Amino acid sequence: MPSILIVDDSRLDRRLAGHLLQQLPGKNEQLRLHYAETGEEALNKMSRHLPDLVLTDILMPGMDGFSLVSAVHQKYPLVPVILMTGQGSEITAARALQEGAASYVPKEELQHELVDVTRRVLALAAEARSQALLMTRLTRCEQEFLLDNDLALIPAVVNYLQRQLADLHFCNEPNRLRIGVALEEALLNAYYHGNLEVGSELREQSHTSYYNLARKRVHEPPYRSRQIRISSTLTPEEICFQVEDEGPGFDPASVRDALAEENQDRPSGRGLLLMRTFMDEVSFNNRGNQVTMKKRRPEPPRPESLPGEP
Amino acid sequence: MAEKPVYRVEQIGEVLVITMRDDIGSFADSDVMHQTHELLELLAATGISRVVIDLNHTPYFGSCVLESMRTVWKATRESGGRMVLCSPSEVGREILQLANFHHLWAIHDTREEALADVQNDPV
Repeated sequence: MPSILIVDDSRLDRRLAGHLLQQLPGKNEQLRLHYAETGEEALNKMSRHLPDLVLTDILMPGMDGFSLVSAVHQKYPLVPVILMTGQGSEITAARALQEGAASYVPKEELQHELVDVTRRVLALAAEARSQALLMTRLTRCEQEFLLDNDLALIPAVVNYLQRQLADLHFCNEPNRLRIGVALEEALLNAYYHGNLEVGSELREQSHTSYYNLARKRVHEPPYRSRQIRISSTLTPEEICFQVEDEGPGFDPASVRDALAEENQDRPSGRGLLLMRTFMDEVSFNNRGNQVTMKKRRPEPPRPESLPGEP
Repeated sequence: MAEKPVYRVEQIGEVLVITMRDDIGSFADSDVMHQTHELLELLAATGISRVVIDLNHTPYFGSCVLESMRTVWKATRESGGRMVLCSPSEVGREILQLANFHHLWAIHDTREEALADVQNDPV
């Protein structure tokens, strides 16, 4: 029994859209339609009952359709929004999609397109909700990569793990980016300082010498055969990463305090600072060649907040 | 083969605007720093000492980009100029604050504000 919220300040347009959508349900299906005149009223209604889909006009007094799309996308990412655009403007459509709209229908095409577009979007949203619901039942997910000491693989593995956090609804986007920053810094430390044994002191003297030495050592034994092992363990409570290199290790206490005024002009220590700030726990093994970083789940999964759920 | 540019560079009056790419995280640190040094050469060759770093397209960055910005700032400072930033993301602003760089560089919400700031500054 799909539930759709139609938002339009024109009573006539609301009723027209509602009338067209009556063709949506199949046999033995019922459609529940809700109406709002403004973006604010729509959000208010959504806070009490989440619909399966929002269909909204763009031009409305107060909060316009774009702002509504953006707010719904942020607050209820699993509820798709379809915009009804005037005059078929491509720019308007592009902006709507940029703000997070699932689709758009030009108002003059409502009669021909609205039902099909809505049906498609509802089907996709149902699939996304099933996935999200399944992911709330995930109890443990473990992965391990063994990387050659290859710089190109570092952004690839960071992007992959970030995408996975998004798919699993582990946290919001800013937190995902923070975790990505910490992970990237840990991997770059393992690459440069761990496996290639290129020290920060050299970077303080000359960037060129630092990177030239790194480039040279990539092809020389014993550095060239070293690898980076990265593991991630995700549970409903937290994500834990371990990054291990095959270098001799280092003493984390010896890293300069990047925040000290006398070190402001030095390039070293900032990576570790970012790791420690963006993760809840950062610890090293005794040898100093393996870092463990943990981030607790900021928001616990709430299957009951998914639309369509009892 | 020519390197893919890490930054887009525009000259607006007496100001050099450096816009970082959205995928700067996918560049090797050595490429970022190599192109940073090319920027320094450009600054020296043109005599420009006012710089705006536009972070509008960069959702996040790490220590290498911080170091790149610090290197450009140092060069502008040494030539008696000034560097300001604009349009960082929420996470980008947090990273700048963590590194304590918000005390050194003005951070503006928009490119227009940043340009007005450096253009009106009697360096």
